[in-house]
Amino acid sequence: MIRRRVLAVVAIVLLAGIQLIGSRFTDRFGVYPDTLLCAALFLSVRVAPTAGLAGAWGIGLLKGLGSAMPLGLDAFLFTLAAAAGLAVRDKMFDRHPVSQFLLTLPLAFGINMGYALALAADGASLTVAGCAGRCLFSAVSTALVAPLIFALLSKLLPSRSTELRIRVPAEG
Amino acid sequence: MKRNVPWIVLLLLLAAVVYTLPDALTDRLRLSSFWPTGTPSAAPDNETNGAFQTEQLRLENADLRRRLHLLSRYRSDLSEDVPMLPARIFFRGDTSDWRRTAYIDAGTEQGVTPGMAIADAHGLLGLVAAVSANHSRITMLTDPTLKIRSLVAPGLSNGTNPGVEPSQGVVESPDGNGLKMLFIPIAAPVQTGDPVYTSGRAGRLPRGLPIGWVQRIAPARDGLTHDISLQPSARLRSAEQVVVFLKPPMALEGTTP
Repeated sequence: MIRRRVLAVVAIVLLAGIQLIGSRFTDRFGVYPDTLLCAALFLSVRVAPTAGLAGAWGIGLLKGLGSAMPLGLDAFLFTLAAAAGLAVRDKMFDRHPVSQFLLTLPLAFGINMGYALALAADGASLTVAGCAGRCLFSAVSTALVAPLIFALLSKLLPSRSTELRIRVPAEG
Repeated sequence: MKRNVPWIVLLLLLAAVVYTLPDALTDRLRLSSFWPTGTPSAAPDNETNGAFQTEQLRLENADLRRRLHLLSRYRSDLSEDVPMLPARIFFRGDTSDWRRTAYIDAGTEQGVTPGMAIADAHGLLGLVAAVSANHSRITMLTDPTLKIRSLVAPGLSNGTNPGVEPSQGVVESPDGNGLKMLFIPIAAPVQTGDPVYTSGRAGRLPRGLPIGWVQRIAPARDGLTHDISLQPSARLRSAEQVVVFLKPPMALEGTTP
C-alpha cells in the first residue's frame, strides 16, 4: 500500500517534469494539456477527501514551482477544483472516460479563467476573445488527456471503494 | 462534503498566504528548487580519454567563437557602450502555458539583476525576471506580461536615422501569441518590412536593439492608430547563445522598459 502511494507521488512528480520539459513538444498554438490538473482531479474523486484536497494543494504548489506565475496561485485554484470534484464525486461514475472528460472540461476552463484574471491583474495584455478561446482550447486539450492520466494513476492508487458483484445462478 | 469545508478553507488560506509572499523570496525558492547545483554546464572530466577531450575542446572553442562573435556584433551595432555578458539558455519551458520563460546560466554572481535585456545574435529575446546565484529566469518577448517601448521608421538602423523621425510605440504580445506594436499614429509612414528597435527611453534597455520587422499593418479599430503585427528578429524557440546587457535598471522608472 505504502509502495503504491510512493509510486503515485513519483508518477505525479514525473508528470510535472513531463509538463515542464514536454511543453515545447506538446505546445500547439501556445496551449498544452495540464496533466497536473488531471492528477489533482483524480485525487479529489478517488482518494479520501482530506488526502485528495491536500494532494491537490501539493500538486498546485509543485506546478507553481516550475512556473513564472505567482507561487500559490496554482495551489489556490487546484484546491478549488478539488473541492468541486469532491462535491460531485458521489454523483458521478468516475471510471468512464467520458465522465472523466466531462468532469475535467469545465474545471480546466474555470482554472484557466483564474490564470487569465491573475495575469490581467498583473497588467498583462489580454483580449476577451483571445482569452476565452485560449481557455477553451486549453480546457479541451486537458480534458482529452484526463482519461489517460486517470487510467495511469488508477493503477497506482487504490480506489476509495470496492464494488463486489456476485452473479448467482438462478435455481432450477 | 460539509465535513471537509474547514480543510478547504484552511488550504485556500494557506495558498493565499503563499501567494502574498514577496516575489524575490518565492523566485529564489523556485530557482533553487529546480536548479539546485552550480552552473549547469558540466566541467570536462580529466579522466576521459584523449579523443573525447579533443572533441570537448573543439566544441568549447566553437562555443567561445560564437560568444565572441555575438559580443563583437553588438559592440559595433549599438549606439551606446553597454557592458555585456555572454550566457547560454539551458532550459526553455514553463509548467503553465500562459507564460513564456527560459533559463540562462548566469546569475547574481555574474552581475545579472532583474530587468536586464537578453538578446541572441538576431535581436531582443526578453528580460531577466528573477535571479539566483548562478541562474536567471527570462521572461521571453512573447510573454503577455512584457511591454517594450520601441521605435519604428522606414530605413531605421540601430534605432537612429538622421533623415526620419521614428514613431514611438509599445511592443507587446496579446494573449502570448505573436507580437503587436501599439500606439503608432495612423499618419506615421510605416510600411511592411520596416525594422523595429528598442527606444531606450526608459533607460533600462539599450537603444537600438532589434525587436522585429513589421509583418502586417491595418488600421486599428479606434481609427487613430495602426494595428501592426511584428515578426520577431530573435530565434525565440531555438536560441542558445545569448548576451545579457548589464545596464543597471534605473531607479524610479515605470514598469514599461
